[in-house]
Amino acid sequence: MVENESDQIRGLAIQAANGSRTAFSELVNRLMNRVVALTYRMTGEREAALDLTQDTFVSAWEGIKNFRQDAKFETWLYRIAVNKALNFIAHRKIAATDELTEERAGSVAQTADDLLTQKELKQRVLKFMQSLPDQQRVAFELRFYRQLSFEEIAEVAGRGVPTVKTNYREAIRKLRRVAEEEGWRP
Amino acid sequence: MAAVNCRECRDELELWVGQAELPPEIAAHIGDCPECKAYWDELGVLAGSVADDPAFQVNAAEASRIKAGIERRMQSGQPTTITSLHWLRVAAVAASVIIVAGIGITGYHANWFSHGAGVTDTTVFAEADTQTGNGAAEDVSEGLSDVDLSALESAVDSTTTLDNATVLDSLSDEQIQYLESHLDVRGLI
Repeated sequence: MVENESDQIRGLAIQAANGSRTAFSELVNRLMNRVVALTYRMTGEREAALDLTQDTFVSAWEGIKNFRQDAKFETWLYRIAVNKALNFIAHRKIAATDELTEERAGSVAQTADDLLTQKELKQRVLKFMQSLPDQQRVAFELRFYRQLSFEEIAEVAGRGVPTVKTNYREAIRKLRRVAEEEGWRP
Repeated sequence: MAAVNCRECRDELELWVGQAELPPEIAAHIGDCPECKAYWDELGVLAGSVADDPAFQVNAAEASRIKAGIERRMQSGQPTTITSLHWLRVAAVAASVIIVAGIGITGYHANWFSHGAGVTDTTVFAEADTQTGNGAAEDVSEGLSDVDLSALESAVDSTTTLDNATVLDSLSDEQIQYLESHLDVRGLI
């Protein structure tokens, strides 16, 4: 029987908890993009996201012996990343649009039209995410982009499930308003 | 869950934006209700307007940088928080603002009581160093050019839009060390 990705990650996490650096490196390889995307959308700053990603994995390595093996490693990791992102946000004066003008398109080859669309899409995402209060931003990131259940989000955010649902619903309603005001199309 | 009405359905639909599957009772309702189905389609369009994007992923160079940093910090056994350096820089600028403000006041009084007009900024630094007993710092203060002071003064004048990188870039390492040694910068973080 072929293991699904979540099972593989759990297996790697257990090996890492037992001291395997190789297993931990593989976890970094597999989950780095998710953590970068999370911290990028949370903070709106690419450089900060890269640093926060590094911090997140180093903290994970430091604390991995405390990782409960019946828990989901991704959820545990997201909690570290979310806390670091919120801590970062709390300590800065937000310049929400700073990054919007100086983005790199990534390593995928694209046409000019694709690049324009992608840049536009990314600007929308960053603009919208930065417009949300912190807890709505956490709920939206984890639910919409990371596909977590409300129970998992509640665990990451340290809030009750009803609160997390309310935060997500409010974020969706805000998205409707912003999309209407801005005339966004997918 | 019992059959849902339209209001309940739409409230619930908002919680499933971006998800692959709906709960069975909600899926059943929108199968029979064109208005709720239209609302669900609208939410789908909305989800597309902020869809995930490859631009939020790292490129090869960034991935290497992150991995190398993690590896280095794991091996060193002393993993400092990189982002704390960001706040150290902010705090250093804050410290410079405070010290310049202090210098301004000291300089004003120095002018007033001892020399009248014409006391230089370097004199003020030297005077402050004498008071603190820090002779070595005098050498550093002598290196503080008009450009440096101008940058610091600008920072004072624009405290709501501090460009800490610009200010710090205009100072030498010794000058930053001087500022840090005279104020407990880390204590401000």
